[in-house]
Amino acid sequence: MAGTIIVDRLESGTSNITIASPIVVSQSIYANTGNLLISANGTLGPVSVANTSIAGKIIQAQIGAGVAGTGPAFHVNRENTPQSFSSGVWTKIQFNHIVYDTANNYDIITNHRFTPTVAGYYIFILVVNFGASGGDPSTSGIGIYINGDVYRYGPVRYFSSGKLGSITATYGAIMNGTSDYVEPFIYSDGASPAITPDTAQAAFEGYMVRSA
Amino acid sequence: MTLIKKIITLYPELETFDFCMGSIRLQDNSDGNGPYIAKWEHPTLARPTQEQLDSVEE
Repeated sequence: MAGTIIVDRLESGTSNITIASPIVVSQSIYANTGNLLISANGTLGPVSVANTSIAGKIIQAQIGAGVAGTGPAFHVNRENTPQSFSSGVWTKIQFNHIVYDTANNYDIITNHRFTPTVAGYYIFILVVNFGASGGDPSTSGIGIYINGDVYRYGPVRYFSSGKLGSITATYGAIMNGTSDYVEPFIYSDGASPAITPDTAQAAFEGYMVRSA
Repeated sequence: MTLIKKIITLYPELETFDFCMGSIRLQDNSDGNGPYIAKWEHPTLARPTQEQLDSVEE
């Protein structure tokens, strides 16, 4: 039946109300439980998504462009004890403290690596303080490895004299969300190089910036 | 004696070689196995064998 019905309150008891041309002008719409569905200004009440294709929640791959998701993020650092390493050898850095690791993807115990569980594009920030390096190195640097092989070297600093303080680098990489892993490495040819434990200057961070 | 010093003892001409970014890369995965030669692509010098490295006196 076509036409317009104007009422102060429209109820159907336990049955649904079906409107062929679904134009509803209302101050608000409530469920039969009394819970608010849509308020007068268009704000949705508490809702849950019931769609079998997304199993009741929106996953990382389904969010729109420009929307920050809940991809993995971590921040680890070196605390309390220096990490000494061999002169002239690219050495994996062993960070020993987790500031945060949202998806439990960073292993600081055994392999000292980040293996993200969500596929996507990641940015990594590595800062290291060479202050404890014994002797005056002529060359010092940092880099990251992916899946056990060199991904990025640098920055690398060459000296005619003196020693390096701290050095910071930023890298970007695509990770597959299953087997890909990233590891921080360091190099110095000082006589007895070491990484100074410093929560601000011996740290490694990583953030997923968009899904694959 | 460190690995790099053993290599330089075997090949004194590598005294000023850039082991950081050059064609020879020494690596330590911090897994307890110590440093090793991860890459050796030197154009003229042959990769030293473990026996040669072990023969270098401390």
